[in-house]
Amino acid sequence: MSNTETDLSAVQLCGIIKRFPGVLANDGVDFEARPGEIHALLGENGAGKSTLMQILSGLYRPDGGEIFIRGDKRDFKNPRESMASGIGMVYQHFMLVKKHTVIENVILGLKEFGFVIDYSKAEEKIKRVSRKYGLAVEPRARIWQLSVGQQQRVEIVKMLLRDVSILILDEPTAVLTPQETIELFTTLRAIRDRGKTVIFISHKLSEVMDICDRITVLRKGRKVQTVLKEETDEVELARMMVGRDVMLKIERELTATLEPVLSLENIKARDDRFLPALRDISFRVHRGEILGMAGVSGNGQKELEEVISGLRKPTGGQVVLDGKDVTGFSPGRMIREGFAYIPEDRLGVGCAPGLDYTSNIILKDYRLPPLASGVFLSYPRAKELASALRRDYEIQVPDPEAPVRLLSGGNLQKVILARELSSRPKFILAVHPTRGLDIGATEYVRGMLEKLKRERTAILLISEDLQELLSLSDRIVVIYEGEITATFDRREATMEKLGLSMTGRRGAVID
Amino acid sequence: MGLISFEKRLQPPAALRVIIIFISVLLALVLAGMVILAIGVDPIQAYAAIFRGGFGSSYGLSETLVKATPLILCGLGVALALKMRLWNIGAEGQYVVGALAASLVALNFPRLPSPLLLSAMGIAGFLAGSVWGGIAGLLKAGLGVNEIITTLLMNWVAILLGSYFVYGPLKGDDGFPFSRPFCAGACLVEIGWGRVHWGIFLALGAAVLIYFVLKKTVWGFEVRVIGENPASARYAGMKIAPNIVLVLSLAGGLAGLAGFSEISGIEHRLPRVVAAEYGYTAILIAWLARTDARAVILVSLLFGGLLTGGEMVQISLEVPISVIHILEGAILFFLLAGDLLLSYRVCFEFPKRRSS
Repeated sequence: MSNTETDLSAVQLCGIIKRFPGVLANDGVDFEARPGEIHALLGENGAGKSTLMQILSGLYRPDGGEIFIRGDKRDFKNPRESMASGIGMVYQHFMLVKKHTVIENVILGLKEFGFVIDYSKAEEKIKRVSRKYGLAVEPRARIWQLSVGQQQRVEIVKMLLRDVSILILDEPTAVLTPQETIELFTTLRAIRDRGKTVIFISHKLSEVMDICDRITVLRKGRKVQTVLKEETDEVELARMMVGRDVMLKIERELTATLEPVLSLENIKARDDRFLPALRDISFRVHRGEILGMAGVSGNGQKELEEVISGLRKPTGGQVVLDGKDVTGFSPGRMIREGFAYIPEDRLGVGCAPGLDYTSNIILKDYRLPPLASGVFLSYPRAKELASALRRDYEIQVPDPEAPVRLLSGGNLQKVILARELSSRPKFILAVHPTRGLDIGATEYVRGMLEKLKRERTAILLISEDLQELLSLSDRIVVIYEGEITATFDRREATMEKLGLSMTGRRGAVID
Repeated sequence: MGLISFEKRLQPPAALRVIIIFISVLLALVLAGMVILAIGVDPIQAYAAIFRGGFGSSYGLSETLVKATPLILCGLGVALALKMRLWNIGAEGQYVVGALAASLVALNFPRLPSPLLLSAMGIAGFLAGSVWGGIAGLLKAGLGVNEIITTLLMNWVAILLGSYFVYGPLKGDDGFPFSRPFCAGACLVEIGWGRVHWGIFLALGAAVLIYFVLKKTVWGFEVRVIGENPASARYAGMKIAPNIVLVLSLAGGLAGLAGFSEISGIEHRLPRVVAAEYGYTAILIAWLARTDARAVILVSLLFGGLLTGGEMVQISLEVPISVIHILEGAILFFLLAGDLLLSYRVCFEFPKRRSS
């Protein structure tokens, strides 16, 4: 790099190397970002982008390479030192104390407000930062009262108050609605226009192309290229990320029949706090159809999943699977009736994270022959099944005895798919199946769902990723406050219409 | 200053685990050794004597087996519960009620033929222990009450209950704090080696049975999955609440069997005070054995040997038995610290001079 370019940089990482047991996360990565730009760090899961930024923010020490902040060499021993150099990172999982107010969270760890805290001074300062960047926050509100988008704003204000010059955001739009995303981008542009550096970690190509000025693509721990937004497009970025051409659009066939497999009629249910969560929901999923369900999380999806899977008894209404009334059936019985579930929370619900690969594969069928005969479980037969599935689904399991939580997100999802689909279910409930997955794994999962649809399985796809819903679903319903507020056929559904319906606007019901 | 920093590991190398176990035991020996030194005894001499005492002679080995018998059974009782992430702190109390129930049968039906009487005593001991554990299980499964607290508190209830019977209905005539002695038919037969009795086969048999049940049956699989991740177990259709009750009952039953085994094979009557606190030592054993039934046998033998050697050294070198308890505790302590090293990597830096 020439001297003039170095002088321009706010941050420069040279030859960063980071090793973890069994994997070289960063293999001599160079990265450089300037003041007054929004710079995207793009790559698949495991490409090393989070690790790189965690080194910059002081969470990890590099095994090799150097960090320069405004031309000065730095060695951060912990996040505090990194923050002292003007670097702030907003993580995907917010570090906020839910019971505390916005003020209390924002000033956490700061000494300038005194031993006996001067809250009004803090509030003043927060309001000033708020106005300066157009970030509306309510200082006296408590975190648990705020929406996810508002909580993220608090995290950003936290960083801005500490006068960061480099703001790093890790997958910030993963938890936002389309509207909140637009607001976030406005905020980021305001921050950039004030001369700060914004580093935007993402795997969402369309957003990156929207908001960022320059894009650095990482693949398998190495930097592929840094490009200006004007000089590239989504197809090329995808190719850089994966190393080959990627099918961004799926070939779709019309295979939906009119034969309903799953019917929900007038389902009512309460949530864990005994408040009504589902208020008279009715819909059908037909054989050979993917029915997408859009909606901001917290509008009854969780309770709906639990009703269908048998974990929650509805307080009214009927669930019919393939002509049989299965209302109130336990999860075990639902599984026997041909129900398969791909949960959103892979590690928490979809698998037993500390158990090995084989145990996880047999999690659904362990009671049945040929795996079980009477009370006895045949581990050798389980291992056979596990190997066969590993081949069929091309799951990478470096150590079959190791706990499955060590597998990558994509491979873990394949394990869950292999387990759920091997019993040829009639109906699949897939919730946000590609969340957190890289392009390769996402391609695989979507292709798998499309294939199952062609094989006449009925699929209910609940997702917050509108693009995913638009590209896979035959029909889309929108859920809002426990009711279906709109139904769209795929030909007429657009991001705008869906986004609008998700906020409560009732739309046309067209079949 | 930050000379030392911790960095989380993804997965610890297997060799490191073994090294850590060795170093932990070594450090524990050093710590207990310092205590021995403070009493004025040569630690090396003491350890050698303890080892010889427990493992160095035929008599010593037999005594080790005698102690290992209740330790294995109680250890299984805690390990089984631990497999499902349940902490059975009540092995002590379950042992007592098991002994109590067996005593009640022994002293009330002395004229039954011995095999029948012993079987009845064993069943009574098992059932009493399983009721004791089952109560905690029901409270946890039904009301979410923490089993650590219930099992612990029920220990006191059991001990006081036993006390009542020893000084009351079962009181002996000789004025000592024991019940009436058992008839010959109520005593587990010795196998002809020191005081070792048939209880040892009961213990080993139970361990083998538990091992195979956990490994080879459908139910054993469920126990492992529920312990590992109750949420996914529920989605897979497993029933959690009944299993909590079942597992704590079985665990209690095993400890109850330990009680039966001790009073029938060694004491031949019900004492007021439970000797050697097998129930609490069992917690250490279960943890050290990482809930594996085979390892429970090995660790119980080790601890049995330590206790035996420790008792002998009390007399020969005037080292109090509490030193052994210190050693046991120190092993646990250092192993816990060692576990920290498995999860985190320690980075040392030497202070660098600031570049200008």
